[in-house]
Amino acid sequence: MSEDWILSVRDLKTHFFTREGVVRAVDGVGFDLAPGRVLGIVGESGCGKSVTALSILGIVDHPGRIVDGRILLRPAHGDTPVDPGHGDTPVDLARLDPPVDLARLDPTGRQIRSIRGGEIALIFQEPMASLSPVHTIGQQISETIRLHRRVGRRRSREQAVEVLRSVGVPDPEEGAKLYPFQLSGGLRQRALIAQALAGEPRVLIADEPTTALDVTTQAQILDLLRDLQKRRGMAVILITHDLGVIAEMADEVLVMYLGKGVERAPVDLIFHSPEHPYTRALLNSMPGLGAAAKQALPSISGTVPPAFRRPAGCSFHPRCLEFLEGTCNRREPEPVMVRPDQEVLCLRREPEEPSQTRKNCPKTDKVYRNRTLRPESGHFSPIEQESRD
Amino acid sequence: MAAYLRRRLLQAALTIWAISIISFVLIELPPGDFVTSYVDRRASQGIPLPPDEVQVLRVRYGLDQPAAQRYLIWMGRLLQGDLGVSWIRGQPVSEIISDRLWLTMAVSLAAILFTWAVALPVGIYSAIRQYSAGDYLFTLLCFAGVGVPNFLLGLLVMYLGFVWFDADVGGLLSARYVDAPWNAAKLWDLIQHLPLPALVLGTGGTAYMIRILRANLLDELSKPYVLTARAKGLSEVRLLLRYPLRVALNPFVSTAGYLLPYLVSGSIIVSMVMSLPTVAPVLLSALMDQDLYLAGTLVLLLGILTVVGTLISDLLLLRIDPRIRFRGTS
Ligand SMILES: Nc1ncnc2c1ncn2[C@@H]1O[C@H](COP(=O)(O)OP(=O)(O)O)[C@@H](O)[C@H]1O
Ligand code: SF4
Ligand SMILES: [Mg+2]
Repeated sequence: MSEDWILSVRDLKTHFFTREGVVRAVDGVGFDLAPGRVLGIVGESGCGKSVTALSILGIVDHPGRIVDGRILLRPAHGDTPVDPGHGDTPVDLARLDPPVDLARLDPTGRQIRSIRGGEIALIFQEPMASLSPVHTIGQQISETIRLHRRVGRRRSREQAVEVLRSVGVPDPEEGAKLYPFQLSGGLRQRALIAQALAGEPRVLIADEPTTALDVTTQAQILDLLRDLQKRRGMAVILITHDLGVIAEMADEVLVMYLGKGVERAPVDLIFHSPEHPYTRALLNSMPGLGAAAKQALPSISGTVPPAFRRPAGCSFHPRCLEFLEGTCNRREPEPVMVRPDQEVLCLRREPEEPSQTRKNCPKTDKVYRNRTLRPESGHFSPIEQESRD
Repeated sequence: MAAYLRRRLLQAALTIWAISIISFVLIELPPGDFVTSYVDRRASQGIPLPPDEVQVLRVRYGLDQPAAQRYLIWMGRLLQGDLGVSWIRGQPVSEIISDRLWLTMAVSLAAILFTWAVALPVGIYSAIRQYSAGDYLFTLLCFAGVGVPNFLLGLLVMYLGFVWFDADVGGLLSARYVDAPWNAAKLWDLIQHLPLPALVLGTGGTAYMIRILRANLLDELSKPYVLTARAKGLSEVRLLLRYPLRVALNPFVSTAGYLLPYLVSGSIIVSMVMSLPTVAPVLLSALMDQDLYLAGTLVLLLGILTVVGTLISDLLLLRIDPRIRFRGTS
């Protein structure tokens, strides 16, 4: 993808070393995030979206650890988190601008802490549990401000009120004095967003920001996020399992399955020319996609397998409608670029596969309509596919 | 908030009232009364009391009246500050217990301070280094601390003091201060004597507190708000002190009120072993002698102290946990 990124994640692997075995929560995820753009990360629950977000900030809890990959953050112009060398050497832009690899930083060190909340901010799914129950909203936001800006207590409290105002909290002076349990769900999420904005980050990661909210509030919070993103020119990573949210918000999309990025493309391609069978199935399970979708199965067959028992070969094969016996359960797919800006992790999209031609891999609309009419694999019902595991 | 306070104070008053009735009933429960046991004792000593003298005693202490009446008389005197006279010891109750009550409170305070001073850092360490060698070591020590009876620990400490330092480590005051009036030197002497009883009395509670704090902290540390705090760039130490510890301390504070009666009842045997002049041995002998005024007054006083202690810890909780503060008003 383009070189114009501020955050680039490359082949990230984060594993949990539990007593029962190694959980490969994130096992090969990559993307570039351009300034002012929205990247949507989508996938079923448990596929490693949250762990990806935590890895970027270096706050994966024990027994989890980043085992491989790079998380490159390009420093902002003007201030350089990276030591540019000796202070009096002439400013050499190439040297001034090397990206920091967050995966290599000491996770408790000063540098990563100034990046957390200051460069990259994170908001979580549960607005209630994500705020301290024993501090007021104002206290929590002004603490963030003092962590990242040189301001006094008084000034930080005023600024906290301003941030609350900017996220649409009515009567922010009073709101700052309230405790999280005194607020409604929507206001709590606004407070959480305000806290994330308080450090004026360049990247905002929103992990299922609307999942816990009712539909009306969901729409309001999404509007707010889009508005803030436009106004502040932030880059946003929006994590969700809801393709509707992706359609509405994202510029680029990364589809994840069992810790891997399986398809990455601009949002239009994801919705109009999806290439990975999992992406297609996700789209198919989306309600309200027209008459074609209604005829298809309401959801993807099967369930996500347990984390320790990763299926051999392509990990999606037990549930895949384009499964190819002898190939998909043997070989692991490599990422292929099927279009200049569309990357797919599927054996059947790899050019060297003999039986693979464009003709045998029908355009998406046809797949929706004739889900069971697939070449080679015969008439598998979802149940048979499950039992194949 | 004000409503909560009113309700809480009323509750405390009612509890004290209930304790007064219970302590009265408890004292009255055994067959006979203290005059009977006094008569028995005199008889066994070979100098029996004449029956008319017995009757005089019964009337003087209201023992000929119904129980409710006796309770009212007792309460009336108590409210006037008259704690009564210990019949067995022939001394005003206030005289017997005043010094001992202060010493009991001093020992208890020392034990509580010991508990906090040890349990706080160890509990925090065990939580943030869960399953480390240190955590396992402390876990082992905690089980030992809960399992070993206090008096055994007391004996051990006395023995070691004797063997290692050739010193009698019992008591709370050096001999020359026992009957001296209170002054700075005597207070200093007391303070120097406090650590060992505090250690012996506080060990069980400390072990228990470490387990509670560890469990609470682990619970809090896994909550999303800790992750949020980390994600905003807080350092680990500040994060721990500012967020989870405050929440984890709630049960810590709320159990502080119960420590006092726990310590007093737990200190009876220890006080005897280590010859500590606390109220505990007096309470025991008063109960065995059915010494109504002494025993009843002691039970009541300890009850009141407990209620007040609980009230104080509740008010502290109110300060540190806004959730309680606001739930009280709504
Ligand atoms: N602390 C942990 N210990 C062990 N496994 C974990 C831990 N946290 C997450 N995982 C595993 O990582 C995988 C991905 O989790 P997560 O990123 O939360 O999924 P998502 O956010 O996509 O729903 C899950 O299989 C989960 O079991
Ligand atoms: S590699 Fe095979 S099983 Fe995996 S997604 Fe592609 S077609 Fe399906
Ligand atoms: Mg998640």
